[in-house]
Amino acid sequence: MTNNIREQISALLDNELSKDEIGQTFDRLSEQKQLRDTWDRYHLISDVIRGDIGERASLSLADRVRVQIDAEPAILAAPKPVKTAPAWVRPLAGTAVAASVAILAVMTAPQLLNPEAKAPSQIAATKVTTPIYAQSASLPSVQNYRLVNSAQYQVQPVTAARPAARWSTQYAGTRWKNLARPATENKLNKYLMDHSEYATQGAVSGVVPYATFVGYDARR
Amino acid sequence: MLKSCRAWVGCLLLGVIPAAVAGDAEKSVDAWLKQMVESVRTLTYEGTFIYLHNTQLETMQITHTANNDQEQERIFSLNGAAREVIRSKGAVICILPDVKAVTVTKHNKGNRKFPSVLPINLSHLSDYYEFHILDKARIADREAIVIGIIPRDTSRYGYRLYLDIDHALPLKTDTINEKGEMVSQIMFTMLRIDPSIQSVSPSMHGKGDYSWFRSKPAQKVSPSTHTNWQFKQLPRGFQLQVKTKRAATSGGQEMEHFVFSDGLATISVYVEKAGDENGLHEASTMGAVNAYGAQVSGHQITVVGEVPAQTVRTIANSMEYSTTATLQ
Repeated sequence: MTNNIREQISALLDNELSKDEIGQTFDRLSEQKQLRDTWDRYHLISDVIRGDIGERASLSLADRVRVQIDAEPAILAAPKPVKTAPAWVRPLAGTAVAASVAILAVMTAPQLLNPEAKAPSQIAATKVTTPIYAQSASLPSVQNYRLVNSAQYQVQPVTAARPAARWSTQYAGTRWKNLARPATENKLNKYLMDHSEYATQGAVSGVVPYATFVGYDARR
Repeated sequence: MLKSCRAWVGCLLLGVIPAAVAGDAEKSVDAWLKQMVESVRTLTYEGTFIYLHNTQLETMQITHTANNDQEQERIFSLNGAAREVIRSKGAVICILPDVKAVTVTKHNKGNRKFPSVLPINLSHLSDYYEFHILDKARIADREAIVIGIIPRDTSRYGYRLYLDIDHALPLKTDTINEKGEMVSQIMFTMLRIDPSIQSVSPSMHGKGDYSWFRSKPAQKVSPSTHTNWQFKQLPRGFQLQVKTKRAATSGGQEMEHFVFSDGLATISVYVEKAGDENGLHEASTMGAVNAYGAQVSGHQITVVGEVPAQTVRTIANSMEYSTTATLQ
């Protein structure tokens, strides 16, 4: 694909092309699948940049474009609105039961980095009895935040034999701890994404919510 | 003269410490954090980072462009399904090749109560966190200064930030729990800061037959002033920032949403009428995110946030329903 046609598509989206050029671009679009894919992407990104995605987001834009060409080549007709499934629920439902990869790195890295970490389930299961405002005597001090000394990085000897199943790349597991219910996970994911909208204002953790989502069920 | 001689000899003994670095160490934490917040938003950069949470490790690519105050960002998963999230002024797009779906969420203007840049207000935050310049380090072949944001109680996490010496971009971020353990780490392995990087575009693996979903603006979000809910015991420093009511939709029912923040950590509380059997009835956790669900007075309450497990539980347990709505 030439840069020229990319530019034309881009210009077309920005309403900068002359009538002749529009016709030409549509002709070429209709011929080549690759170009139509490009159209899809430009259309998508262009919409997003303008902030007017929504009404024009459609099932297979390129194919609709092809249909539109015969009828009215010079008008960027807005396809009828898509079916509006709840945005998160549908796509995530398909990936609800996550399969995890227990690759060597995953098995060992956390131990190397954080040998004394307790399983989160233990934390979650603890009933809260202490007043939360109390200053804990064991609250981490500046010392805890200093960079870990090299001793902590020593490899722990493997003493017990590990079942082969745990090393498999396909063992079943979910990302939310203590949960094995896909529907509940979906609901939580939906909440988490919504929450991200509010929590991303800080650079401290700004990238995390989306990273969590992008990485969600990364092992399939 | 003697002083500078000593300094010079010291440099020789300690190895080469560029003068700029020594000078930067004297920059206040305040200045570092302000520069960080500004840089993350206004610089154009791309890089690869790894994300370790609990025992899970992910690799992702990020491209961030900023032109004329127009920010775009693409995060793309390099392992497993080639998922990507594109953030822009207008919307968040999630592309999920594993399920051949694209979701588009338009920012609801009513939603954007928060400024896009956190106005780091150290005098306010210092009631709940201590700030220290801890060390120097090297991350992704860049020099970094290490800053500790250390909580004064166990209601919130701490952070260790490794900021690029030149730009204050966070090269590594450790999130540290109430026991001093790292619950998640994000670290760049490669970072390129370059204004000529082109704006982001989606890759859309295996194009063509994607299904498109958009979150409809039909789910009306409106700021609400009155609520039947009272929070009897909020963890210290967490204040109500946003309160909205969302109208019922075909896919869901009316929902109330409360957002609390101490200035750094943010917690969401979602309240729906009980009845959906998929509600959360216990504690759960994913990386640094903790969630706690319970049913209170015929309502399903779900609390989510990047805070310790105890904090989300405390908030859920402190909620009381009264039959008359009050101004919060």
